[in-house]
Amino acid sequence: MRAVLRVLAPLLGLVLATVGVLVVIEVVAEWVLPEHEGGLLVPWPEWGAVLAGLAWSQNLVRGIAIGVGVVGLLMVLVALTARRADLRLVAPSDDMTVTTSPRVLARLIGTRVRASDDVLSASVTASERRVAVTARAWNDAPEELRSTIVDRVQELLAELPLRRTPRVAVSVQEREGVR
Amino acid sequence: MRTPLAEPAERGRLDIHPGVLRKIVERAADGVPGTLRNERSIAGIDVGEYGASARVTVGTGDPAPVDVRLELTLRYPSAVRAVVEAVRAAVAVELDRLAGHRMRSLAVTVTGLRGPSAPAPARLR
Repeated sequence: MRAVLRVLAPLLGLVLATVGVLVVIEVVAEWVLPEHEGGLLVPWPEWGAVLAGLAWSQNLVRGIAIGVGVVGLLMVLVALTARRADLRLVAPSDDMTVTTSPRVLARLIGTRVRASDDVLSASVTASERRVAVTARAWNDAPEELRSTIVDRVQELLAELPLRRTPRVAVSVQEREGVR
Repeated sequence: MRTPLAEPAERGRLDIHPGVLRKIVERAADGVPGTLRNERSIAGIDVGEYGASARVTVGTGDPAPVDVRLELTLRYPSAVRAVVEAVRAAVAVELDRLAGHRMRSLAVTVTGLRGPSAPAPARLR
């Protein structure tokens, strides 16, 4: 849901900014060019005429109102469920809660994986349930590189006081060319 | 005729602003071995550093209990649980010693796990 929110927020911002700019342009055009009939960029007089012909009791108005309400509720739902999915750590005592972010874990794992001479680059995504590592290796990397990376990541996860140990998925892509 | 003064203990009251409690918490946490400070930069320009960041909520009662939310960067590798426990002890002691408040709960968010920054290279003279 955070991904949806990250896409939705800039899009809505862009729409609002565009509407704002159009309003400013139309207002200024109305001041500067009073003899110009109709909107400069937006045909707002025609829209005004259409809206003036609508009544609150018409089905079109009701349909739009229901649609806007549903979209609004969906957006509230997205915003409420898009919380940061923190990873819980084992706390030393009951009056404490200790958490960390998936990003911290992903960085740590990335540093550990990239420390291998056989790994050219690596990207990591982490959550409470799953850690996924995509490593790019040199083409002369040993066959057992994947299992080596899995062992390294599992070793690191065992060092951390995570409440729930995530599954580890590693994929290794080979780079063409010589080292 | 002068009215007699009230007992010394009843002549006033001491309130400590939550901002002061926050600073006590942050300072205590930063003093624990195993916690790290981060460099702060704006557009790549170094503008100092920052350490632990705390939010403090003061409850009701006497002494007023304090709920603390703390964000920390810890040194890694190190025993995370041991460092967090040391932070808890240090914060509780300092809150009690300096402000007379009891820490009721502590929520720690580890915002970073990293090795200590590499020392700056020696300058050639």
